[in-house]
Amino acid sequence: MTAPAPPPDPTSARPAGRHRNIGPLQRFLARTGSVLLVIAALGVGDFLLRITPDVDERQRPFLEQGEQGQVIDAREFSATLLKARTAGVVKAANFVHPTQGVWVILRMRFVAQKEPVQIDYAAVVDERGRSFYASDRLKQPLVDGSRSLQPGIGVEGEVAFEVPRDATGLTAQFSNAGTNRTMQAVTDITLPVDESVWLNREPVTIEPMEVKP
Amino acid sequence: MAQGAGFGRKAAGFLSNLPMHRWILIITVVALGLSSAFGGLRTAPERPAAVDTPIDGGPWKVTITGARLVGELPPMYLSDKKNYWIVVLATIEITADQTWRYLTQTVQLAPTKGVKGNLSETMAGAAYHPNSGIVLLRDVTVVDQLNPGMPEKLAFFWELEANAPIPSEVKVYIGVRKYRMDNLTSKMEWMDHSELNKPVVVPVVDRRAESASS
Repeated sequence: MTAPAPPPDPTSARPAGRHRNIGPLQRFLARTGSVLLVIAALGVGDFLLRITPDVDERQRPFLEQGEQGQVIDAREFSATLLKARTAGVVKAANFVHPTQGVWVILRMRFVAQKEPVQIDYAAVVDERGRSFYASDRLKQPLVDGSRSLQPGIGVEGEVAFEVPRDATGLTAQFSNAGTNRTMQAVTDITLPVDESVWLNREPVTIEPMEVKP
Repeated sequence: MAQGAGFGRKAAGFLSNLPMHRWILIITVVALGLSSAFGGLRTAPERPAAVDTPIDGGPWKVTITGARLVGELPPMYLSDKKNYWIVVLATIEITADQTWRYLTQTVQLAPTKGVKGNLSETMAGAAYHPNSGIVLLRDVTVVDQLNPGMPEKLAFFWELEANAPIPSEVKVYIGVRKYRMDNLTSKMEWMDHSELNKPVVVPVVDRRAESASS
C-alpha cells in the first residue's frame, strides 16, 4: 500500500502539468506565427498550382509546324500549302459571298499515309489565339469530313476561311481528329498572306478540288 | 389588472435583458415571416429583356431586333406552301475565342401554338422549338456557325401551321453558358447554364402579303 500523492501546492508559480503559463507577448507571437504559417502554406499551394500545367496544357495537340511548300507530316496524312491568297468577295457554285473581314483562301494538297482518312478540322489561328474554322457559307468537302482520302493518292483543292481585318500572324491548322484534338497531330503552317488584298472587291473564284497522284 | 401590469413589467424586463445576438435572431425571423406573408419568398417572375438590347450569353452577345411572319422565303422552303415562317431577327457576335458551331443554342423559341415539329428540352428542363434553319442576311446563305469578332445579322426560322392562330408576339430565350471547369474532363469549357436563359418578348410584324407578292 503506497501513500497518497500530496495535493498540489497552490502557491507554486508554475502549475502541475506539461504546459507553462505564457505571457501576453508570447501568446501574441504564437498566434501571429500560426496565422503566418497558414498564409505561407496557402501561398506555396497557390504558387504550385500556378506553375503546374492544367489539363488543357498537358493534353494539348502536337503542332507540326511548317511553311508554304513544305510537306507537313500530321501522322495519318501529310499536308502541303501550295498557295495562299486573300479576297474581299469569293464566288463558289455561282454564289457570291462578300465578307466584312478578309477571305483567306488556301490551296492545299493532302495525302493519306496508310489508311483512308477524312480531314474534319480546318482552322486559321491568329496571334491572339482566336480560331476561325473553314467557312460553312460554301461547300468545302475537302475539310468537312465528307471526303475520304485514300492512302498515297494526293488530293488538291482550295479551302476558304473568313477572318476579321484585325487578325494578324495567321497559321493554318488541319487535323483528322474532329472536335477532340487532345494530344493529336495538328499542322501549324505559317501563312504568307498579303493583308491589303481584301480591298479588292472583285469576286475570287474558288478552284475546284482535284485528284493529283 | 394588477396581474396584467405585472406580466408587462416581466416581459419588458425579459426583453431589456436579451443579448444582442438574440435580438438579431428575433428581428430576422420576424422580417422573414412578414416577407413570406406578402409573397417575398415566391420565385421571382422572369422579366423579359427588351428588343434591341444586347444580351450577354457568355460566348455570344445577342441582340434581338424583331420578328416577322412571312410566306416561303428562299433559301428556306416550307414543308407545305400554305404554312408560314416565323422569322426572328438577331445580331449575334461571338465573344469566345473560336468559331461557334450549332447556333441553335443561341436563340430558342418558347412553346408557341401551331409551330411545326417536336419540342426539345434544355438541360434545365425548359421546352423550346428547335429552329428549321438559320440564314445569314449578308448573302442569304444557310449557316450554322459564326466567327469571333465578326458580328452578323441572322434570321432564325420556325414553320407555323396555316390554321394556327397568328401570333402578335413570340417569346424567345437567349441561351446562357459559363466558362468553367468540366467536372468529368477537368477542362475549361463553355458549360450549359440554361437555367439562366434570358427571355425576350418580340412583337411579330405580319409580312405575309409582301412575301406572297414577291
